[in-house]
Amino acid sequence: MGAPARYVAGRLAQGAVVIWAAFTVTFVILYLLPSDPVSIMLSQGGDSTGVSEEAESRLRAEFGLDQPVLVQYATALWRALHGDFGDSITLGGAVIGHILQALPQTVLLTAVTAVIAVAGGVGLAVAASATRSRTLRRVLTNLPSVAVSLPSFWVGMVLIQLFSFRLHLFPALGNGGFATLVLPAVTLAVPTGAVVAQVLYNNLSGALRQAFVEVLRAKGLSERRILLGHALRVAVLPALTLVGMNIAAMLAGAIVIETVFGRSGLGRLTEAAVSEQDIPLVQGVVVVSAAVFVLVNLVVDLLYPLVDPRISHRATAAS
Amino acid sequence: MSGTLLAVRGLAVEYRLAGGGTVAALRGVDLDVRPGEIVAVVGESGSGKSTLARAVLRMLSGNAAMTARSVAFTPDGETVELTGLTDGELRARRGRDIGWVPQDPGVSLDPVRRIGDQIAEVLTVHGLADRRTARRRAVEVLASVGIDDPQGRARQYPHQLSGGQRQRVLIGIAIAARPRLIIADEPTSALDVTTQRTIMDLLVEVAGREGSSVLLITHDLALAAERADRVVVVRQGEIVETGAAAQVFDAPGHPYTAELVRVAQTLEGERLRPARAGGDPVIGAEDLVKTFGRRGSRRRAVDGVSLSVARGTTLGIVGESGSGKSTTARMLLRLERPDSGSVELAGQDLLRLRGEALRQARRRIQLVQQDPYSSLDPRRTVGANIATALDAFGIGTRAERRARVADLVADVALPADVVDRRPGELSGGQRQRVAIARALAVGPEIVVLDEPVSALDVSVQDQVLRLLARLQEEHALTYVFISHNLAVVRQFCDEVAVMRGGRIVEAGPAEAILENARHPYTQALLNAVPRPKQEAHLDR
Amino acid sequence: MTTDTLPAVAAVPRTRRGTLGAGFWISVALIALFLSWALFPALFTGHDPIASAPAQRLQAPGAAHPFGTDQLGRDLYARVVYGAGASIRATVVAVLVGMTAGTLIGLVSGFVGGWLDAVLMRVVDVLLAIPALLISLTIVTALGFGVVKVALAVGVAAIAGFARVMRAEVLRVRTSAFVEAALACGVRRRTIALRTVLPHAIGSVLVLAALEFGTAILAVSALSFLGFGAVPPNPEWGLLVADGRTFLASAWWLTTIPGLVIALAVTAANVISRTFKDRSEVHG
Repeated sequence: MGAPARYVAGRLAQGAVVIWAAFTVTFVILYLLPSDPVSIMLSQGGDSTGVSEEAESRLRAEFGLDQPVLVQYATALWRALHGDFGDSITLGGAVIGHILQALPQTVLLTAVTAVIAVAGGVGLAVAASATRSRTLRRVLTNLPSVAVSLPSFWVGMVLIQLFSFRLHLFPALGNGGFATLVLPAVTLAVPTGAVVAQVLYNNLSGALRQAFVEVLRAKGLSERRILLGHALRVAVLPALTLVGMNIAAMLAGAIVIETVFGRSGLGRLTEAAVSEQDIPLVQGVVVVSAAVFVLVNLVVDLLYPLVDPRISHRATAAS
Repeated sequence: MSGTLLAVRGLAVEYRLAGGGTVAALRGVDLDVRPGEIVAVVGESGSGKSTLARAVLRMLSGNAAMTARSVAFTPDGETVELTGLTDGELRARRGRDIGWVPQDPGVSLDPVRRIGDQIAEVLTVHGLADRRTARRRAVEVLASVGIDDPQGRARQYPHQLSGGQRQRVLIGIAIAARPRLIIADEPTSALDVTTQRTIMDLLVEVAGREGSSVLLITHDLALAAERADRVVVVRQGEIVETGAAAQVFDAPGHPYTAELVRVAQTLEGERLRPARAGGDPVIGAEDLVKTFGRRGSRRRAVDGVSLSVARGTTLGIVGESGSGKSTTARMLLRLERPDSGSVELAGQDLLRLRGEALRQARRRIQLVQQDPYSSLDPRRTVGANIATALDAFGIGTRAERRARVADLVADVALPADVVDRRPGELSGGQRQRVAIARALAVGPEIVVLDEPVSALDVSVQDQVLRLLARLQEEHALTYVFISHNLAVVRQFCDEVAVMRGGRIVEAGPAEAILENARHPYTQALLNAVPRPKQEAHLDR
Repeated sequence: MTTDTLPAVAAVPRTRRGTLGAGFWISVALIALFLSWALFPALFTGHDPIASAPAQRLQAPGAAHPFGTDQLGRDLYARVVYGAGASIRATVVAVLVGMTAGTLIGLVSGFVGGWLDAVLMRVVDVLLAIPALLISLTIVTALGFGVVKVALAVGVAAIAGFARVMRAEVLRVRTSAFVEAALACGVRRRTIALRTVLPHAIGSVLVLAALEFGTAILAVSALSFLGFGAVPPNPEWGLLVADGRTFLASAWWLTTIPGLVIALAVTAANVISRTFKDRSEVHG
């Protein structure tokens, strides 16, 4: 096996561990917290009175909850390995089916969001580094810290008010085509774009203070050429990593955004699952999110050497 | 050759402080560089010598304000007033007419660009060549600065080169456009001693070949005297002395220069106290081994080191960074646990001690670290710092401890009122005195001195070394002295062990080793120390 | 880079250490105001936040009602002021839970080291890889709904971050030269941990706590917005925004103003955190 292949294999193994850990954490929270899953399941819908003990024990047996904890865990893990997270309590049918049906809409939303976030974040950081006006730089560098302070559900509504109700540019709700994707993607991109801008700006400032920049100046390069031709490439890598790390956060953000914009998708499914306390569905969503996170970061990792020659997977494979 | 290539008149630089107010970095500096001449600007850190180098190229930081009556530059018969140029016009001069060699090659190349492209960029950015010609020229330049396989190296990235090779590349960048003037800012101070000499040779040779002048910035007067035609001594932003190199070195006209000369001559200078023969050994180590890193990238930092120090003497452990000398010191103190081997302190195996017994053993052996800026707890007063060990061992009553601290402060020649101040208010030399007082507080037999003066200015180094020598006499101390500086070791130590790659390559009495080194590495270290010689100047 | 620029560099701390900017003091004033709203709402408004007044429904902001009124005629300003009670209290609980548990885990992990450190940090890594909102939602699913449970859920999700920062600080301080000097002087490890390492490490934890205060306000309000926190008709900031959704087209103030208040609170917390950070970096 070549070094890159070994590296990918190693990363896949690490990824598997993360997914397993996500499964375990949710299992611990959902099945082992003092609350009793069966009574939660029975009470969903708000009415827990008048349930016969017989029905309760039947449910317990059905979910294997009368077994010792470790047996429950092993059984659930074995099933999850085969993509089986059980049946949804409220919706009926296999959890994984519901998730796979909802996933494409959310993946599309996340992808568009990532593009907007990177474009906006990089643009903001470069503009802030390039400007000679102190005031403009102050405004541009403070913009991200304001942006991360805004509640996303509120940003979504303000955008709807402006662009749907006032200007009639984009539809407010629904899943119909690209036009409905714009506002939710912009809303979801605000926090990630802000973080990208912040990190990239700091990295750029750091890169511009490094000794090699002094050599570039001594070579007679203009400040613009130093920024765009040298510093940006040195600084951009951690910012890219950040987008990868933030994919999971975007998936989570979709829970709120899809609710605000009335879109169907994984986020909406999660919201429904939590409000009905549909335990198998919630666990399925978290584990699948972890899987998406692992996958995206693997791809980002494999792209590293293209940007930064210092990183070769031969070297990193050892550490 | 006649005329002047660079004539600076009345140069002053001030740094604006963020809170208002200014600090003057340079005042009224006049400087001439003639064609083909090597001029060395010598001064300690903070003297303003680097500011001077940057001011010529107008590469000062944003908070610097520069004024000059004139900076006249005459590259080809025509004089240009650099202060009168716009930023764009000056930029056109940088790299083309004036080359720059930076201090630290490790961080001075763009890490994500190929070597060849970085050299070629000098030519393309000034429109001196098209892309293809520039690439071809870059390979020639690499060959001319002594890079093997220039064709292949041109396609490599900086991290694939050693420090010495990178500095060769940077010299290549500086000379690529055949500038008339090369400004070199401490070009060898970040390199291993063994590479320093070859890089300095290269710089002088390349400049000679191209007929370029060199403005050499350095803290090392010996180096300046050895290499330069003329020497300019800077102190606190002002030039205190200018003259031919031999004259400045042999007959310094200013007391400050005389002090620098004295320090630079330590390899031939007096010992701080007479050498002693060994009595009974107080501390010894047998076959110490320490490995760092995990599987796959294991590295033996220390590989079978044995040593022994006689009571009342000083053992110097010399080596470059990465030689394992500091790790050895840390193992003697049990701050690092060896993988194998033993440390015997007063009849006990230090490595077998644990818990309270180990703690009690620490009373016998104390430490003075390299950097006095980080070795003192900044939150506690100087007195509290000195009393650390007294408190730890619960020695005496509170009043007795205060009295002991006062004695210690007097012993290391600090004013009595430092006790209630914070370390942040003291200078580097004062802090190191505090650290020494802290080490002496519990009356140890052995003190490990880990590069105790290398973070200090030269003039302060000498004072601290003299203090250590006096304290050794007065308290009958045994020293283990870690250093990279052979000159200091010669002045200070009775026995010397030279370390390289985790092993001791040569050991014995200091005089013997420094007079007739047998191991080639020791000889290389000795050769790397610049020795100003009359003949060297007559050659020019 | 070069030692010659020392005077300029060394001078920076003095100014940063000196006066604090206007932004910092405005932020402190805002946080103080919101805390007072939470503790003594009646001092700030005479209106009842819950009783409806149909005659005055959906009035735009004006002299009588500075923030306008909602669909039941309730004064929005009064609802925002009273809403601070639930929002701020939940936030404080969340931060305390996260900070206490996280700091403890980090201190133990960093100081004991070895396999315990390895295990704890693997768990922390996993918790950090899962977005906080998903962790909180999982906990809410298990515990059920309500302000207190939401606060706990948000707090638990913050533990990993505190643990990571505390451990990193402990390791940083532990390897610093002056701690090594103390060890070489013969100071006991426990004494070093409590008297030297902890005081130096706690600064970064407080910086994170201020930052986490803002994050927690956002998380609590998001969970309430989704309907898992406060129960109507009780006011809570996130819930106010959710309630206003129905009238998005006709009554802009119902969503805009409570959202703005949340954003102000979070921004203020972030500014305070950043100021602490700048200053502690200068000291450290």
